[in-house]
Amino acid sequence: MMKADKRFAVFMVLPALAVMLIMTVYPMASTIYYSFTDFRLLRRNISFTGLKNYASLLSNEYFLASVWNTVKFSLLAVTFEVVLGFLTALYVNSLKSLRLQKVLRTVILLPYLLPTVTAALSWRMMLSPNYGIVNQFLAPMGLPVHNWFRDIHTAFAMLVVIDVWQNMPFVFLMVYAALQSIPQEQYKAARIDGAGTIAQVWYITLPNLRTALMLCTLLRTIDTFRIFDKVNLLTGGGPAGSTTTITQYIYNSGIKSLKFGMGSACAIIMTGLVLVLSALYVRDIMNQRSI
Amino acid sequence: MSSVILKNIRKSYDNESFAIHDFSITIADREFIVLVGPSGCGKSTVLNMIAGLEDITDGELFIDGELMNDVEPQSRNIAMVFQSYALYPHMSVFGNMAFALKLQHTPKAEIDSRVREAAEILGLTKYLDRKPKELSGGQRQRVAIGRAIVRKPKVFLMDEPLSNLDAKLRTQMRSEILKLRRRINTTFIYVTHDQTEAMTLGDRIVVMKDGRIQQTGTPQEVYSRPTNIFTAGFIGTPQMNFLDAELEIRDGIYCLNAGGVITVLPQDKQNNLRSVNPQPVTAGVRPEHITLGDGGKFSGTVDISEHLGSTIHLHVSTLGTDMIIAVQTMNAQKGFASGEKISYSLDGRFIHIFSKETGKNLERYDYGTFGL
Repeated sequence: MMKADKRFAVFMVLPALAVMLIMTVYPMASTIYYSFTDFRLLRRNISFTGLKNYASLLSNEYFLASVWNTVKFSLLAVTFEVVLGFLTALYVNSLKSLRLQKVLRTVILLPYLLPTVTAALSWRMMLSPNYGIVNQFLAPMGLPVHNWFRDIHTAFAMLVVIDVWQNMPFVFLMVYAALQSIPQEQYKAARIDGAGTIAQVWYITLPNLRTALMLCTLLRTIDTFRIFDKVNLLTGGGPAGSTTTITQYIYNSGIKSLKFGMGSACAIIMTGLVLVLSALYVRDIMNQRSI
Repeated sequence: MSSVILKNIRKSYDNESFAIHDFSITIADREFIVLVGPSGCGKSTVLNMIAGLEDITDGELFIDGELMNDVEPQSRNIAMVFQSYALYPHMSVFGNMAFALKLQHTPKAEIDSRVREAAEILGLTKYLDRKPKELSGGQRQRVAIGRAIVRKPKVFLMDEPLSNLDAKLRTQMRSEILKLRRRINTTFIYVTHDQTEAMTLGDRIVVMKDGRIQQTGTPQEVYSRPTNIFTAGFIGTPQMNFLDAELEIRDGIYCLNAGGVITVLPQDKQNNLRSVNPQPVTAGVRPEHITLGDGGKFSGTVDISEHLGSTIHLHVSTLGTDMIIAVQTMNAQKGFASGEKISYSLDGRFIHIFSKETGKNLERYDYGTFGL
């Protein structure tokens, strides 16, 4: 009987396992394998090159610049998203009117619901040097008008702003939900103990939100590390490579030029970076849970 | 001195209806007062208003003679223990107990000595480095009490502190609270829905319903002289039995006619009922005041017999209603079977007579009229 149950369980799990193997494990294994080869799509012969791709990438200043851009982008975007999301959630949660809370919750969430392409194209129109609404506001006030995505001083910042605008609501939502689950008695006890508003945030809210904030940071870090669509649609990695992220670099040097071996090595390095960062956060979250 | 005076306190959340109506009470210095009532009766709201966690819509609150309506909670010199303990989960036991003192910028050495002293009283010394998650329910409640003790408050507020504990631990903690009270000797205001806690802990108890005080008195007073049907039914386990009856005057003597059986009321009740007109009434009699016996004037049929060890609770169909009779096991000659016919008698001294119309106790006691 037990054996039959076991067989049935294995049988039920098999389809999911097969899909996972085909969709995840096989591509991952292939990528690792190709990263040690000189695989090009239009060339028949594939020869094993060892660590040559990796060595070449690590000595390539464009690749290193793209790694730095990605790290910089990730740091800035995640910091702003988490801080703004936290403050917004704190504000909305403190509102006494539940109706106003509901309205604000919906309004704040809207950017997150938009497809990235739609959001990127809307911003491209708004920031257009010719007919963009932003420049039309700035010009009458005597402020400098920019070609926001083609100016080396503003392109990167604009990408950060757009990413923060679109993804801050995610942090808001997570923190808002976590705020609702903090027992009100803790605040009451703290008030009786003599904690003012700031002390309550510091001693009650933040420690209770730590897991949620860490989780947001982890998920947003992974996501911003993989940023591609916004960069590709808005700047294409330019001007002068100032917005080239790792994914954009993979696209330019791996996909467009069909150098799949090199592209694979690039992807493996990126995965390694994300894994290291994730491991740090996950360890912290697990430590939190064990408290 | 740390008396607490509530004068005509009212609470409204919508400026239309009131959750608390005209709540007035004077709590003496070092008195242990228990607010008791069913869920939603407003007892926790009263406690929160005393703590300053909720605004007082109307009325005045004095602590130690000082008007406190607009004083912040931390400046009222009170401490509060919550039902859910409300411990800070990320702080150690020491951190939890030291938190208020730390916020007051108390010197470290003093914090240390006060926390350790409180921990000693509550048997928490070896748990000071642990997090609340690593403690049992009883230990957590002790930490919550310890957090309150270290502040040396004038008034100790407790909001259903034992409700989250199992029955055995509750009994144990109840006696610990009594010991603690003797040790720190300050004013206690304790909220509970459990009448056993109210009866065992309070110097006086305040029975509440729908935001109104139903009765204030010592546990014995509330038990033996309930002012109305609600208090009579709420205090006492198992709850008081109620029968439809007629209050009659026969030859100038008050009698109770229940199901055609006439019970002459004793002299003290004759005095207490003076000038009350004959009328239909609700007679209340506690299960422990009913005597079983062959010579009883009343008869009934046993539906269920519950053996609780020292007592047996008989659920009996009689006089068109269901009644509970509590029989001491040692006095029971035999067991009771379902369907068995029994006879019993009521002792006039222990019958409570309530107006059918208003639910108020019709007796007037020496110290004044009970009533709403």
